[in-house]
Amino acid sequence: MYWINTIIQGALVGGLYALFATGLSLMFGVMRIINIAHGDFIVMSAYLAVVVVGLLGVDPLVSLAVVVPVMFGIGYALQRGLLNFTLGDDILRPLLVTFGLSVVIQNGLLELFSADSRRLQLPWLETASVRIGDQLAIGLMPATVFVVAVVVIAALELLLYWTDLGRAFRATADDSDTARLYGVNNRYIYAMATAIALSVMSIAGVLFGISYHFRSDDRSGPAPLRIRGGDYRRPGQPVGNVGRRCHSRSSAGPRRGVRSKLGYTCRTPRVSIRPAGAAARAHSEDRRPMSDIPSYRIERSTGTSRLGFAILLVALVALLSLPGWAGRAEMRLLIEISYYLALAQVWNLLAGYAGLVSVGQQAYVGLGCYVFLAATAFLNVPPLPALLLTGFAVTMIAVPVAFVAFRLRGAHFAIGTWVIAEVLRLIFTLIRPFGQGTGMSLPISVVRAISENRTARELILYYFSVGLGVGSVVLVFFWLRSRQGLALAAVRDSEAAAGSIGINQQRTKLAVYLIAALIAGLVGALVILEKLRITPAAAFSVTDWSADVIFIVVIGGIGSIEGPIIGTLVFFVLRALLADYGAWYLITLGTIAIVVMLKAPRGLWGLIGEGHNVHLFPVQRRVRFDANRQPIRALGK
Amino acid sequence: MSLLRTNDLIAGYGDFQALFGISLSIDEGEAVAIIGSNGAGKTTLLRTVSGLLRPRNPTDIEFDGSAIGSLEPEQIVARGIAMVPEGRRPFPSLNVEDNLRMGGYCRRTGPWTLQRVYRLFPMLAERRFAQSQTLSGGQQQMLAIGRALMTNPRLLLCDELSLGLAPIVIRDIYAAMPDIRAEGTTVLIVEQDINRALETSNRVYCVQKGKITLEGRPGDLTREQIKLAYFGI
Repeated sequence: MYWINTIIQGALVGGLYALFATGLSLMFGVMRIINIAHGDFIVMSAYLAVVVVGLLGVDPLVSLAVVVPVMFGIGYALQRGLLNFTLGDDILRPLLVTFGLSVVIQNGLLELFSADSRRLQLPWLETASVRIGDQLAIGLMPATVFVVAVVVIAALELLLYWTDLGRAFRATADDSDTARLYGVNNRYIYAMATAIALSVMSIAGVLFGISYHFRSDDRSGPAPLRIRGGDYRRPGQPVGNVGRRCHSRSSAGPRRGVRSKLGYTCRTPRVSIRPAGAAARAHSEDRRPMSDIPSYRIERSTGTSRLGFAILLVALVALLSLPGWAGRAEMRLLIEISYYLALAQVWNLLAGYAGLVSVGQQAYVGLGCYVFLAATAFLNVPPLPALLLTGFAVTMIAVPVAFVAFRLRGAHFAIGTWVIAEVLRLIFTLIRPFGQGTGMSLPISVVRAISENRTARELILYYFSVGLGVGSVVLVFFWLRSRQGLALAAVRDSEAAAGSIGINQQRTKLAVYLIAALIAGLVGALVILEKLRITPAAAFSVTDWSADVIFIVVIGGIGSIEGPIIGTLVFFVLRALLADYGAWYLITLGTIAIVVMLKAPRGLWGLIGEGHNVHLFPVQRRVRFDANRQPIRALGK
Repeated sequence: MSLLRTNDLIAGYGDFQALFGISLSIDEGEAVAIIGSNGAGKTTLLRTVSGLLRPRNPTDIEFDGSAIGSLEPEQIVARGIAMVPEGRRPFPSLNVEDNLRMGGYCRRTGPWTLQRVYRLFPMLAERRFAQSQTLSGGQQQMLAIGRALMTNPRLLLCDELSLGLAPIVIRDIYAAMPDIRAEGTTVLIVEQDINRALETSNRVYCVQKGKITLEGRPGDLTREQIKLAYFGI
């Protein structure tokens, strides 16, 4: 009997989760928006119900009559006023804007309602249950939730398959340009999709608020696990069918310039002329090998890059000498800056060059934490070899993960990596030796093993962190200058074209992915060494290790080395300036993310460098003709 | 008065200009063909008329006496211009009947209903619940024409109906043209197949490098003239 009970309870809880998933997959299916703020909208609806119940003194279920229309309106306005401007081939823009929204909502709620946990009271339903036989009892509340979920999903099914609006949703999801040709106003359709999605979420949110305690910083469980539910297209899944999009939108018409996977127009020609192999070498030795071709040389550094190197050199000297003249607090800050710089550099390589928009780098930071912890605490490996072991182990784990994740593309890859990280987090909350959800401390003996002296320990940690940060910049710099870097830039600008000239994209991408995992793993080891205590929630935090890093890279300027550096500086300056304002700091951060995505999709470095040919890092190649400035045409003869 | 007029129409993609001053006019009830080689600007012209591309000047395009150059595609179709897009582009997650119903989304009334389209293309009625992706190329083209007719257009734009289809299938599709015109629909056809274009139309424009190089009635034009206008040699 026990297992029948379990199955029934599970199915009833599943109803709530199905509602969560439905809202999210409607937005993803119709518009390819990965709504990171999804959980926050759910919690927001629950708070809205709290307010309505408080003001009108009505039953929480009756409050739905107010909450649902309000959320519908918010959804419609949000899409028309904000999200519609982020749509395009680039999945990063809606991702970052909804991340900004998430931060703003979460902290707005924190300001308004404090962090106390709440619950919508519904005494007459909560405790009631129906007995079936001696051993089975079905709570009326879970049963109600289940019935509501079924009704809502059935209603959506009817809407999608039997109404003009539903057909328009599906047609727009397939091919929005062609849908417009038959009278579909896609801006309206998108707004309706978000409005309906938020309405469904608000129903879910109120039911959630009745069923469980909730808090303003609650994201109601692992979001991505809910996401998957509706995205598979099997028959009977109502909204899944919306998500089919066989041909990309870009094929609807001639392309405007060369578009990268990330959707921005790129400056291709710079890399496209490259003397290959022996002919090139002949060129540099004998300046005039063939009569027609004007002699040329390949130039890499520029005036600004020489200046940039001078600045960076000064910065490096300052960094290395810092322990001599600055205090403990500054060192701690720089340790943090360093590992964010390292994470940002490799994430930029992933998303900005290889087209792998990962939202799951926290998987490798978390694994780094736990592998290091396991090696030192359980296997008694000394710290330094443990560090090497951590790097190696995390990279090895990344190989099979890549094998799975690389089967997904674009937005699906983003969600997939997030799901993998969430699964890892959940696994580590179950492992008893690691203290399950409450976490575990680094044994004091391990700390002592680094050095008996506290100052020496701090120095070692500092230089290791700075080494990782600077090292990641140097690594990315030389990588991009190399032949592999040229391949990466080509993949960034056009995957199809890169493939057709013989670049092995899978190998290039795998290399980037593994390096990113390695760096994240080392950062993880650093984090545990610095914080000395770790919980699965902190180790696998999507906000700390992915969202913040995405913020840094995108604000700074994706697809350049300079961008992540600038982004890291901006991030920490903002944090220093606004640290005293608590929730308002994060609200500002979220707002900045939204504004930059709308106004300067190429980030701050894009604003500075765009059109001015400013490069601090000379990774480009330029062809300079020495003698007569004959056009390139001569090369073809 | 002409139904559609373009006045020195200029359009392009970003920095790339594709149309260099196209002036043409089509009267109600006519069937006009635009011929030209690859990259001449034929598809660009249709995309601009249907609103998918913005002309440089909103007054460059007039439909039924009013400028439509600044309207969105969904507003233009509501006024009575429907397009059969290049490459047919059925909605893959909709079945045949739902694809046709999408044509009725803008709620213009007129002779074309589901029943009337099924009478024109009986094959579509047979396969009304089939997924559109399972249709053959010719069947998909019929679906695309039917879908456009469901908007009850005054002007039907057809972009390369023959693209990628076998000659016998092309013949079947063009066989529907007299029926469509009999309902009073004006037709503008873009076609690379010169003979097909000459057979179907009352008037022909030849486009080359974004400009009109020849205009006339099929009977009045000589092969030499067309060759010159088409290839520019």
